[in-house]
Amino acid sequence: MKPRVIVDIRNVSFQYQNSREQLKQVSLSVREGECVVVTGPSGSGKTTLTRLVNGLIPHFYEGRLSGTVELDGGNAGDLEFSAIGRLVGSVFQDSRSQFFASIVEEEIAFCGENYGMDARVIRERVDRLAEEGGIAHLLRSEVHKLSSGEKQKVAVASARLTEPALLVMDEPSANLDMPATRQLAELLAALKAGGKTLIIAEHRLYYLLPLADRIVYMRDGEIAAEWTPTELLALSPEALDEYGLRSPVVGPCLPDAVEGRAGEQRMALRQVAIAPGRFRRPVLEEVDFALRAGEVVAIAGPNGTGKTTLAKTICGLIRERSGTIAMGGRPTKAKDRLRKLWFVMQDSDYQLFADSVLKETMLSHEQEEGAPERAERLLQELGLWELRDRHPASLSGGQKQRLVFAVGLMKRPDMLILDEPTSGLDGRNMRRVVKLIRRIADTGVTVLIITHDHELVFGACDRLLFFRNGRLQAEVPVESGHAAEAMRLIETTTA
Amino acid sequence: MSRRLGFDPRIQLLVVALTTAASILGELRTFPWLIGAVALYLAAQGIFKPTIYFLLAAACLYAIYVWSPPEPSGLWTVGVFFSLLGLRMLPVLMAAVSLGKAPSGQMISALRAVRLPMGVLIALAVGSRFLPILKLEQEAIQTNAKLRGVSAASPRNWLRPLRTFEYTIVPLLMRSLKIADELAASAATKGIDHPGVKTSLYPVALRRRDIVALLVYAGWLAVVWGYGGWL
Repeated sequence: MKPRVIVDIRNVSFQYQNSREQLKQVSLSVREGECVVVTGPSGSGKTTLTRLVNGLIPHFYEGRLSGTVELDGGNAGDLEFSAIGRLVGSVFQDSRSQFFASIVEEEIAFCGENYGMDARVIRERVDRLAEEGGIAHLLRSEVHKLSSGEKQKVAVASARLTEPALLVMDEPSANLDMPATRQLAELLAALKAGGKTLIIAEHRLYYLLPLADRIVYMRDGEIAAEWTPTELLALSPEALDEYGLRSPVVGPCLPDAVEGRAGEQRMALRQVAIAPGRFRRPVLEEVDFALRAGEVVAIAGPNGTGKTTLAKTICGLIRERSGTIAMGGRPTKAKDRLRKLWFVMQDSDYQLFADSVLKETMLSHEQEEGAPERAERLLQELGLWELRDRHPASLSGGQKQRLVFAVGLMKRPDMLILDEPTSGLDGRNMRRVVKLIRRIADTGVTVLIITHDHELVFGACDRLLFFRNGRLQAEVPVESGHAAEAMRLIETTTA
Repeated sequence: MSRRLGFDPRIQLLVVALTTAASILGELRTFPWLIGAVALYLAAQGIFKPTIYFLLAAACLYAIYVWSPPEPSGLWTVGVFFSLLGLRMLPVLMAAVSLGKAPSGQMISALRAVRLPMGVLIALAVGSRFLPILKLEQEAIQTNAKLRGVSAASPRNWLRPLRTFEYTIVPLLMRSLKIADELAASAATKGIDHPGVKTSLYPVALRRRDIVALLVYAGWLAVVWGYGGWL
């Protein structure tokens, strides 16, 4: 006998207020115990589909809804929102805005407290879920101080407290490195083995294929294709490119080494020690490496190694504790480096200040001769000129990121530092960023990238610097002869 | 980090209310006694670092107020205005910090016992959780502002106060709106507006220390209020 249908979406269309139609005549049935992965380009309607399942639509987000959504046999519109919360556990993408409590055990307990569960039962479940998720030692820790992987484990434990039959996740691996992603995959496999139904909206597919029953592909608000994992693996690279999907397998795909791509030395670090604050212990010491003009270098290492602190030190936001950072052969102070470098942070929202795209690009360059012409040229190159009068906050994620690139390039920097530029991007946008980085490097700008994304490393980088245990441990050229070693370093788990 | 054991959220809310009344109605010369009492109240709950920062801020504000000329003009006018405003707000902020550290489940459960409307409860719980997130957001925005050369911490931007204010506040507002929306959605999927009885992972009961703390604090305010002139 087939398991019963737990989610039945029939001919659903939905349009948020003041927005275009996000879902168009979508139908999807999910049986109990199934794992369904929803993928597709950014803006294709994946998140909206998850909101239908966890009841946020129509109970929280208002808009025009047609068609029917049945959850465990009941019409979602007729069910109390809080009743849906008992049936469906939700894990969201952004850890900053999904945690309600400040302490881990409080966050895991939160759902049970809301549903009036007995305090002793809550305590038992909190302890058991923490044990299963490998976070028992973190129960009294502050949520905001955890690594991304630990936060994701807390989010999953929190969603499981009331033992819902169905778990819905929106890009759960977006901020995770490869080891944390593998741990997430193990946790999901255990949940599926325990009979839970899983619906996961995701760009990264490689870690979900072993447990997925089917992969639903969305485009422009419609379900445009559906594959089994075997069928997805059989798609050609051209087909994946056409669908805008990321590679479903982990592995290097490299051209042979290109000789003479990099130019003269741009920056050299000699015996540098760095710390995140004046009164904090150094996180990296005796750091020695050099960067050349036009070179693209990846920085990798386990979470918490000090990669972002290193990037902030190099660009001058933090002073080095000891040692020398030289540019053009001369020791260069932090405040001087700040003028010559540009740092594109992971979340573009923080880097945009003005009320239009053009003003954003011109900010701090208003008095410079030729700046308006340069801004126009840059915006045209990056496909943003048509949007020049739009408010930056109204742009899509990819457009915001390109605007931050434009802002940085207005400074005519010698070097660009990028922090996880492809996290949360679909295959098409990821490949677009790879091309953009290569194009910028070809103009002689040195590009330093903090990343866990193997597709970015193998697509854009010339060299990989690997940090662990407070030291630079390895420098590996990213070329076919060293691909396996580079892959091993990206996947390294322990700090 | 081990969890701090604070006073019952109902007592904490009453302390905020009493402090707000004292800050609005009290004379400025009594404020050292008020701020000192709230500092002790925080320290008794193991909140040390923020207490030290608050006391330093109070000392700075007092210094501006005391050393200002009798008839201030120019920059002094701005300084005196902000020192007076800051001194009046500081004790309330201090008391609110304590409430903000109460576990959300315990807070909702305790405040439901005094029959506060659910909307008020949720607003209080969300508000208290939102402040620490806002602080992290502000730090991230200021790092980027420094990179763009529009940081409020840079003296050259003090000459363009309106622009600097805009570049400090607007991104924070945009982020706040987004986070508030997502936080509310997340809490809603976890049953925050479930109409039934709420429970708490931690025991919710008024203990002797809660009652003693409230009586001592209220008594102290009465003494300061009555004898503030010569204390």
